[in-house]
Amino acid sequence: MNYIEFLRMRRNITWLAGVLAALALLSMISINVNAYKVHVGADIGGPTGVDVAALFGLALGITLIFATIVGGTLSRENETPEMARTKPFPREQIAFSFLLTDLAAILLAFVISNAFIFLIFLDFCWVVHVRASFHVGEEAGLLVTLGLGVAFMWYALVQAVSSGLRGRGGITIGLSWAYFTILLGLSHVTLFPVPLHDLIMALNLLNPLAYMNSLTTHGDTLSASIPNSIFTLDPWLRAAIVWLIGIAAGVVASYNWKRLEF
Amino acid sequence: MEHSIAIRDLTKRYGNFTAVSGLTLEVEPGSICGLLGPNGAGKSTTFKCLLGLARPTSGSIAIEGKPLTPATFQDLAYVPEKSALYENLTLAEHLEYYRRCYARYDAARASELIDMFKLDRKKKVGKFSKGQRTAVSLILAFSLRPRIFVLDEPASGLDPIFQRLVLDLMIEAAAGGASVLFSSHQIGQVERAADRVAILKNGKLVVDGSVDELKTTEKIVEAIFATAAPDIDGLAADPRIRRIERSGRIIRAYVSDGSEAIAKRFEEFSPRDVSIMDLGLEDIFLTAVDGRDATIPHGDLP
Repeated sequence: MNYIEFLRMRRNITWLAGVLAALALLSMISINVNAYKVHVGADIGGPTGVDVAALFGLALGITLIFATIVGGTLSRENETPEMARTKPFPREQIAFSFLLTDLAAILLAFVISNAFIFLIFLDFCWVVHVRASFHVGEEAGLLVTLGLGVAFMWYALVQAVSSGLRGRGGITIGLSWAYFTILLGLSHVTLFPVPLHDLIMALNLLNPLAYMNSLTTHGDTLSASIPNSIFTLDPWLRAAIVWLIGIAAGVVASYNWKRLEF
Repeated sequence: MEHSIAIRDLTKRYGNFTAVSGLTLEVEPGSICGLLGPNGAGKSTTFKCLLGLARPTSGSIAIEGKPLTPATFQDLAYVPEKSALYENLTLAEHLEYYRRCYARYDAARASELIDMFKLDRKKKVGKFSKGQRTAVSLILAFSLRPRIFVLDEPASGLDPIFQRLVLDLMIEAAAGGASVLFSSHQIGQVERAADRVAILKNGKLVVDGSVDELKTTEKIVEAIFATAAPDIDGLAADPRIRRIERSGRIIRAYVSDGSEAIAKRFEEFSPRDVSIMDLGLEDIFLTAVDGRDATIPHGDLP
């Protein structure tokens, strides 16, 4: 693990936990103040209980935002090349240690996000005097694998593009949101001629949003369903693809970072 | 004896611009080499090539007889001209980073240097002054006890007391067998610390030699004439003359070698007086980086 990146991720995780704690506190105050307006049955989530995958979905959204924010770290190292590149380790090893540290932070962000979401949910149940029981639905494993894969793919693509730049990681992150969202939107437009639509679909192969463009939940039972995609592929295959693209983009990022000259 | 640093025929081009051209330079173990040159002379580019931050267009670089590898950095410490520290990290965190990276990191030495420079370990580097940041870079470099130091403007931003301390550290390291290659705009520092000087101009090495040797060979030959100084075109073409200054009745020739012979050639123009004067390192530097001929307005020379 790279010590510099460990410190950077520790700071980012602290910030994330602080923001989530503040949001959780506000939510819990709001729940307590408005509790008298809420009318629910004796239990929540139906006879089988709440599908934890439905709560995971929210945490994955937060994790995705976190993953894109930390995507410019190799680019930041290019602002101080004399420090990062004069260490007694191969440069590709340094780059990989950054990527692995960031991946660990992304996974930790998912765990922390879940903790706060469960805390808010349990507070809600306690305030409105309902029982909460949980079960792990069939899709929970798929949802987490696919959701984290999409976050990692997005992170790695940002690294691949920005690692050869000097300190423009922030711009790359911002543009990635616009690019991926617009590209996904264009894939739904049916007015385009076939060649243009095919081109858009081809470009969407490298769009993480295209592999999981909505997380749907059944509000009555709070159970999760398989995330949608513009590609008619088996969801597990989609999960494998996003992780593979993420790993490939990580390799490209390391190579770009290594070969940069100053 | 194997050179600590051996740069052979190094050329680095950025597009059509040649930053370094055919540079050959060697640094011996236990010696201090001062690299001088005006801004844009190619000093920092040379350092970048030396450290693998830039790829040479041609030529070779060897550290202790071997090409640069990651393992080389266990014994090579670098202090860049501009701070390359992590502004959000404290000095203590920088030290911890170095402890994890370098097998030869010496915590006791680091503490000693922190006390010398009077720095607060818990303070973020971003809150240090420019001089203090330079001090942090120096602490990190000298706490590694490396065999080779590459220092780009190591006293930049430091007050005179700490500038002297840096020179003492360099001299002490060289006395212990380490090699030091450093650049500076402060010629007094180079004169005091370096036993060898290399001067770059427009990417080319124009002077290279030991400080004592340069002071022995580099001289000013001054000729004073009864009337206006005559035309000495033939003499000015002599390759031993680096630069000529004219002012009214006086001609000064900055010569790299053979000052006695040049003085004799001046005699052919029947001057009232000819004298040979010693050059300081500053004069040697200015002569090397200035043009070959310069006409000083009347009154500028005594």
